[in-house]
Amino acid sequence: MAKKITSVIKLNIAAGKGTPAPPVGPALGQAGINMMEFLKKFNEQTAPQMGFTLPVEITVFEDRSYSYKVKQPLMTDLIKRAMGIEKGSNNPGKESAGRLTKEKALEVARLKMADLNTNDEEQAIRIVAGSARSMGIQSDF
Amino acid sequence: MSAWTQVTAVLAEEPEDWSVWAELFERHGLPGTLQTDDPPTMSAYLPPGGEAGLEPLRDVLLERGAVRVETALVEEEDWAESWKQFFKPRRVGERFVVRPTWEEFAAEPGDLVVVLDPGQAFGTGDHPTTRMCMECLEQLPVAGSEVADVGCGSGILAVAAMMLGARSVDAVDSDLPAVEATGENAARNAVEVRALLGRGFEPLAPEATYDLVLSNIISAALIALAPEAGQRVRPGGHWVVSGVIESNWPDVRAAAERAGFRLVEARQELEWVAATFVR
Repeated sequence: MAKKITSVIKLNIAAGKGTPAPPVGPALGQAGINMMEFLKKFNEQTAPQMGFTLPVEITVFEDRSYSYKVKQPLMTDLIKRAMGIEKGSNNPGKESAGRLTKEKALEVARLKMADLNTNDEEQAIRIVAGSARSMGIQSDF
Repeated sequence: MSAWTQVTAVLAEEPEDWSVWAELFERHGLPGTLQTDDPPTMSAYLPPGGEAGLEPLRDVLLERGAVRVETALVEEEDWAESWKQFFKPRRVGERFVVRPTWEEFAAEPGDLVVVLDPGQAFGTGDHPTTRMCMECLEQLPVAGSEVADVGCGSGILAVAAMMLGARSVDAVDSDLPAVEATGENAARNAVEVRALLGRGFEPLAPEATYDLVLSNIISAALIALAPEAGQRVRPGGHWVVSGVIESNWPDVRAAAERAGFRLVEARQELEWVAATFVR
């Protein structure tokens, strides 16, 4: 029998470094989830990705049991990695933080494809370019 | 009491990529964010004393197109404990009842009541991985057997095995709070469990073998453990594995089979798989 879902909590948490501090604490405490249990599994599972922030979707069921899905790192993190930079521009309209090649955009798009609302590579590349632009990174295509 | 300031950016519509917003928060020293789809919002929390960060963050969020920025004060509390109000006694499998220490329960004849305070450790009987493990355990000839629980968490499975009449249980975890919780939970249930700190089978006597090994861990750890499980489980003995996400199940199964195990039973709840192997 399918269990009734009471809520879906979407968090972005630093890989391997989840703590009960907000936003995790208030969000999961209210949902009645044994947070330390969740964090322990999350931290263990994501330790190899330390340095990235990971989107996590936690589905809470009527009986307070839960399941969770860890997605690919934030697209902005993947862009930063592909570009070899630590942060985007503080003033994206005016200051550039670099240029993104189509090859790099494709690399990010492929990694992140499963989390996007599209199966179309060109469309995904366009989303990557859009996110890069908001970080002050221009695209070469 | 000190308060955190929740800062919420309300957006006009769901963005194609949320990470752009998460990155803005992160750049203001707030790497953890919470998002909602309807209405589309993203929030983060400024810690007590960090209120000076509010104005610059608000300005940036509005400049980037947030419809408005809302703030709320959230009193600091022991969030790690707040879930306890929801943890009620629950039936697991045919005979087990898991009762948190702070709850009452009127047991019926034949019930095996495991009294539990998981502390920081995994295993309240609330999670499918734990529940399915207990169900597998119930199906096995545990009475009189020698058991090892590798990755014991709260000790719930170790205690359950003793309640089913195991002669002895050695419980191992690499996490000290888990080893402590296991010792405490065994005492609470008046059973004896030898709780040891270490990885895999490492802290156990090198020649020790078992009738039954329980491992509710994660797939990668199970795969790594399989060859030694094949040595530690006596011929005809069982290995119960859990904590396996559906997509990893074929790999876990293959690793167990390579180590000389044969599948007896596999269960699935949501995306979690638990299984019993015989050697």
